[in-house]
Amino acid sequence: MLEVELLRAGYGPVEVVCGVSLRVGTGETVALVGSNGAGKSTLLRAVAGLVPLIGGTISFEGQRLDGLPPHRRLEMGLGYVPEGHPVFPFMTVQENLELGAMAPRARAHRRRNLDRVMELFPVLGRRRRALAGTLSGGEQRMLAIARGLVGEPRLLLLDEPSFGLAPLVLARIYRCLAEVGPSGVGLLLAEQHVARALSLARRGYVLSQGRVVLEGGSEELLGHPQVRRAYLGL
Amino acid sequence: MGERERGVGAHPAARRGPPPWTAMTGRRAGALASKALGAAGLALGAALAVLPLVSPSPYLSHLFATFWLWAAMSQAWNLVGGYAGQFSLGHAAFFGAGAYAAALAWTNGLGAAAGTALAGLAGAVLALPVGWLCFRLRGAYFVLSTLAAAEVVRLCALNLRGITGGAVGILLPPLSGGQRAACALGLALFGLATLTSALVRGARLGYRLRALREDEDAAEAAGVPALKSKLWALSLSGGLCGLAGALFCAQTSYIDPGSVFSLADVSIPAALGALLGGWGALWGPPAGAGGVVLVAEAMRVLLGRAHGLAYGLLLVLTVLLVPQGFCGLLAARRRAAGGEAGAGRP
Ligand SMILES: Nc1ncnc2c1ncn2[C@@H]1O[C@H](COP(=O)(O)OP(=O)(O)OP(=O)(O)O)[C@@H](O)[C@H]1O
Ligand SMILES: [Mg+2]
Repeated sequence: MLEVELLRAGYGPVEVVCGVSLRVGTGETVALVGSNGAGKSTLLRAVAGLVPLIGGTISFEGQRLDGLPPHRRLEMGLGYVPEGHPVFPFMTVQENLELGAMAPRARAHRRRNLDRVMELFPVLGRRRRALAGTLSGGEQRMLAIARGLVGEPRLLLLDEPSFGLAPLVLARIYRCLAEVGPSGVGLLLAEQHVARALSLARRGYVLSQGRVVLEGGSEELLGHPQVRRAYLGL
Repeated sequence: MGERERGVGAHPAARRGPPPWTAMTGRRAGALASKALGAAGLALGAALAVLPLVSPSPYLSHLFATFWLWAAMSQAWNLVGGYAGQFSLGHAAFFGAGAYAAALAWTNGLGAAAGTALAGLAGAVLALPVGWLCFRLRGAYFVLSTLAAAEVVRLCALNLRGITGGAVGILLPPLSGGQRAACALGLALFGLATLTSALVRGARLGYRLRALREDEDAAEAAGVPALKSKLWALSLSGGLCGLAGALFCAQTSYIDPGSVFSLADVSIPAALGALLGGWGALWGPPAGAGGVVLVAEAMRVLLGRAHGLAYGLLLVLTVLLVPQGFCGLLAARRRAAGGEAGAGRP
């Protein structure tokens, strides 16, 4: 579904992602792990169309994405949830969700999509009339993921859904993500929380200084001495 | 990209929960009171709308025609300055373009309706190149670029003497039906502007504009086409301003570049009405425009022509004291008194 070939991207003259190739199959959950500054976010931003490419190609469902603006990629079914709390704090929870649900490709099923994410994250349903800025950090993260999902993506790029969350909240979000996979939505999950990400994904890529240094099945990666030493502290 | 430190602790609504004394009864009474207030406001508005149409006083009709015109302009400005948060001081460009389009159409024998339609079209179309250039900039640079754009259009009107008559301006036969007709047309225009604003607010465009207002980068990441959305808003706004320009032209029977492209007499009052009333509610901009017209009228009576000074003071006071406008103030109050909903922005 997503094919990235020798992608190079960065900010100005600084190349942060230096020739990364990866692929995500239809409905597949794939982890992209690496330490701080490895270039995970930059890679996702480049795929979403927010950072210009220096070189390489990205294709989605057989179509080249070169130069397409972010909203066109969204229309093709490539969703993106940035890191942090990328919600609009002075809009209500409902309004934040509507913004995603009104995407052209998902518009016809707006009601159903909204109901579905409120079922997935009941707290959003309960607080739909609250301003998004009044939600807790974890709830805001849920809202951001939910806003990505109501746009009916075929593949969702998720940047660090676990960052800064208490273990309980984190576990809840991951339980929800585990429900998303089987519904046919692909996930590309950038994470520092290596064990978590690899327990959800079947395959993974390890990124270091802008390059893929390891790739393989999740079990294989979790058992790999380099991963155990560098990321799991074992 | 660094972690965005936003929301949670920083949000005033998070700190200010419902006060302990708002039991259910208090909340219900509050809702009832606000409903009664809304109904009273509506009745008052309807009475005010009809009164000048039947009153024999031409002064009253003139005052109301002026009010509806500025209420419509503020409502139109709000699409861009309020919903999208793009603080334009160049709306005189669209107003003036509309006024000139109408005046030229009418002096060349086109009918009233055709001239009016041309005026709306002129404003809407002019908004596209202006927006295409100005929306590349943000913040203060955007404001300055809109000022410059209006100035460029004014200079064009001043120097294309063959078409516009230059500084001499264009004289038109007076509007048949007089001030009362102007008042009725103004009311219709205000209705159209309010309808547009209401439709945009509930539509995808409205959500996109508000997202852009809050955080342009985050909005783009969420799939909002920034430039396209802002151009739509500016074009709708410019079209309405063009119609307002036509009405102004009909009402005053005379236009020149200095009056219809004026910063102090057009761009600032349009923005000021929306800022004073607030962008969060549909009644905000017209309420603010009412204040602006009254102040201008009072200054005219008291000091001759010093309303530029009054506008300046009012602008500074508004931004300092009620940055979210009066409707935002009320919404924040209501939020504090119970319900969580409300669209004010601190
Ligand atoms: N807007 C920017 N301008 C310039 N350099 C940037 C920018 N954003 C990130 N960088 C740099 O790019 C490099 C990779 O950053 P990136 O955010 O992609 O890493 P990451 O793998 O997501 O890290 P983390 O796990 O901390 O989120 C870092 O060295 C960072 O300083
Ligand atoms: Mg990152």
